[in-house]
Amino acid sequence: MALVSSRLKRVLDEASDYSIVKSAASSVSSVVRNNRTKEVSSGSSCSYFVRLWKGKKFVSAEMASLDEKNLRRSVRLLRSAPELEFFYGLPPGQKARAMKCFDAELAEQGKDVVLEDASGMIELVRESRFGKGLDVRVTFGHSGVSVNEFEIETSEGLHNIFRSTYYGSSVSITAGSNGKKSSSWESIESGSLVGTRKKENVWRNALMRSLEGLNRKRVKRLPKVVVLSPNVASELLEYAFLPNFRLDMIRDRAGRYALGNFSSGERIFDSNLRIVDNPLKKSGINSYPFDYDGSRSKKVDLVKDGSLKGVVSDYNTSKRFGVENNGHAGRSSIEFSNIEVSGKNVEVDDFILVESVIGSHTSNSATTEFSVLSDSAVLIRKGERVPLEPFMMFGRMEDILKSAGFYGKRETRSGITMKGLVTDRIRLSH
Amino acid sequence: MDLGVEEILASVSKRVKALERGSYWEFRVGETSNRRLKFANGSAREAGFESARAVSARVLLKGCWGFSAATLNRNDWKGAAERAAREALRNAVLLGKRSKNNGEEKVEDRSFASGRFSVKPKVSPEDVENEDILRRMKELHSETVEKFGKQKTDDDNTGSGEKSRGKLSGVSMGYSSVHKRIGLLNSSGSEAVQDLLYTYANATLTGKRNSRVEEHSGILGFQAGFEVFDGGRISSVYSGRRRWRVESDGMAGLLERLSFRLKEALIAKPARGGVFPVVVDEELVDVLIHEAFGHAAEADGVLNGESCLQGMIGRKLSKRESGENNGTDELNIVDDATMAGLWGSFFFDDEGVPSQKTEIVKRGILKSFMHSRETAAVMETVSTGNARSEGVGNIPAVRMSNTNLLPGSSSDEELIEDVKKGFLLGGSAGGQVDIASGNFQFNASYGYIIEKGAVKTPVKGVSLSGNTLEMLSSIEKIGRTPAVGMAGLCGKFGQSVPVVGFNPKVLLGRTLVGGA
Repeated sequence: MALVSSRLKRVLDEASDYSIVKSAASSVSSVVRNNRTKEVSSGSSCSYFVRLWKGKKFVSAEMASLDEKNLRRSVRLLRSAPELEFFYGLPPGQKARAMKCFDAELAEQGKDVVLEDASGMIELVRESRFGKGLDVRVTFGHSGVSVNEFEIETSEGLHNIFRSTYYGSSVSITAGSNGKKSSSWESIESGSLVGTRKKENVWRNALMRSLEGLNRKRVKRLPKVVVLSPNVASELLEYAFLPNFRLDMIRDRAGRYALGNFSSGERIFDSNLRIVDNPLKKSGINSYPFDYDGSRSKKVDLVKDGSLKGVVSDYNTSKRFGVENNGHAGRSSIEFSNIEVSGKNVEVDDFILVESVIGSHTSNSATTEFSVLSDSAVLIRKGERVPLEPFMMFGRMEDILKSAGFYGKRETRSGITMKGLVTDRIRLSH
Repeated sequence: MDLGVEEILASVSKRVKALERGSYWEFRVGETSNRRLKFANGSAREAGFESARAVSARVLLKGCWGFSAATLNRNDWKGAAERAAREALRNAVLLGKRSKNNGEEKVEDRSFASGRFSVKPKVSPEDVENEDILRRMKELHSETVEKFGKQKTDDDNTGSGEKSRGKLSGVSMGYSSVHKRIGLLNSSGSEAVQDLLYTYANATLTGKRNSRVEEHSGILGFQAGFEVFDGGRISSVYSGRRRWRVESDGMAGLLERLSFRLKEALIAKPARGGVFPVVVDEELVDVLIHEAFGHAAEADGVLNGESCLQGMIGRKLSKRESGENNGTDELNIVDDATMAGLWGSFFFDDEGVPSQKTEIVKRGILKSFMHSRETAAVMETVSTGNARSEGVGNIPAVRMSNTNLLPGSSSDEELIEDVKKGFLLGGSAGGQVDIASGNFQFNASYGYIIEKGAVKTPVKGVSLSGNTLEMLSSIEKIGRTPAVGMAGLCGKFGQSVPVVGFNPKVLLGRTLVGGA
């Protein structure tokens, strides 16, 4: 069914082009606090993101109801709207590929899944045997399932719909003993149902790390080799490095690299390093067959063989710079989808494994520098784990990737899939 | 029929009858209207608005909370209100049947808000056209680019002979005004509507010097009107023993400040990390007090056993456990949602409790936590009006508002004069804390080395980290003049709420400083 009725189309006549994106979701979630399932909630939401153009004049509006009143307000605003410096019209209509990102079983069982997760987290902690005087609790647990619908209609006659499901669960476990406290957080995300065993492993990991945290030691001579777990490495990449691969950042001259760096072929990083953005990944949590412009989304190499290769782009910005549009338009900026990072695999045996950090969002993407505090780190020596007292870590992501190796199991965190990142280019300070 | 929040609230009681089975319930309806403009490198990037309406219901039934929310579509408020009420009850019943771990619970329900409350702007955002704002942004863009070449930095005065000061490569500006109307009805007797008006102006400047790229951002945000963008008086507020004038620098002032900091950053050298005394500016104190201390003083975290302040009520925080007397008795911290014009203020919280000022630390002693109705009942006290949610569609949790360290007695000179070797750090580039251990990390957006009581060369990429209790005990001096910090959105449980602080500078004793 069309989003815009013929009556509403008449209201929009004043605009030369329009595009309307409908985002609807229904969700259910459970929350655990202090070893107790505290609440169950459900909700439904729907919003319309409307963009109107008249020549180079442009306006955008988001509304809960696609009605005459809201559209008339948008049209009124269009009359006095500013002219965009560059506008190349709406992207040509492209029928999206069919993509399977909808798990009917997950959608059906939503409430059961979130309630079982809540009980599962609590049981795991209650049934584990701890020493005397040890207080261990699930301080926060969240499990949610949502069914999402993304639909676009444009004045060019394009009409695409994409449905997907999402599952996300996170747990924070706190252990306390003799006035000392240690907490650890873990999460899991997927586009489809996740098996109980896999979830339990994630919760167990949080439990183990919170217990370990009670026995942190200060080690005088630390090895130089640091392994950033997929969780930490993906956070640092997200904040300190990846924004430089957005064409709008390059347009606004806010990024580290200029477009010329991407075509020079100069090798900047380790020759085995490859970073790919793949919106078409099967059951990826950030997968989408078409973007906010209605353009088909494509897989793009950001770094290949250690050289800058490509950027994520939308229709208008790519036209302006004469590069390929790979369908990554978001609501108000260009966005990444599922990122995959790979490179040379290395073996390490005496190293610091950093499993979580505090402050990665404070990184500077223009310089790729970061300065974070280790929240959970262990010294791995001859196969033994020695939990470490927190320390500061400083580095530059660009330098780290010049000689980066990869170690351990591939994991997906916040849409970034990678192994642990091995480096000797991080400075540590107690 | 297109009803407003007040009309919906007045006629909703029959529709939410289902909720009366609970020992506590609330029904909320909200309307948000947002206008925004973006301008970058000399041209308009975006003009637009957002409008949304939503209803939600929450009920406590035999110790189980049920919640449901829906966006209002095509003015079907009756159906949406009924569905939300029924679904919230159904969720509470389902939880009662499926979970083995529920206890009988109560909420503290002695206070309630009643009536209509509004922020009153000096210049209503509705009275200013987009074209006028964009024209002003264009002028400011040109002025900033022109001035950047002329602006002097401290380095100019050192006679270092440095020639290349760098180039301004990007200037972006944003403006937004968000009008939120929230109506609330609950079993405690609240029936109230509040109009909140959040106006903010933000800017980012990027500069290059040889191969070096630096960026500086800032935000001005107040509960006020267009005067935030233009600059000038916003309100006057009490902090400590006197009343202070609150002013906005305006977009022009913000750009000037960012230009200066960017020029400094382009010539700044990386800092050498270590343990040093640090003078922290008002903006960074804001983050320090909010992140390192404030989150640990939220009662839900305390009840969960995840706060390092658990069991500390009545204890002295401004002295070390060893009794070493290096702290200050001037340590007073309040959370105050009643401060007119401040970004974190409101009239009543999302449980219908009137906003108030809460003394958390008085003369160095921990006096109180911040509470919702639920945490107050468990700890046998009263709600402090700190139950907040991002929007009507979200569940309230214990959150801060304007969290302030009250002014002390030291002048700016007195804060620095005894520092032999240390840092002056300022501006906020974000921070994070683990409230269980109390460990935190913050990044300063600018910094200087202090040597023999004098501010010297600029340093870049400096962060500081530590532990909440150690940080409080290491506050040696507190400045006498407070200033408004950077308007921010505080994240917790996946929700963001507006928060800010009104803080003076402080001198921290031994602090772990990291360079990049």
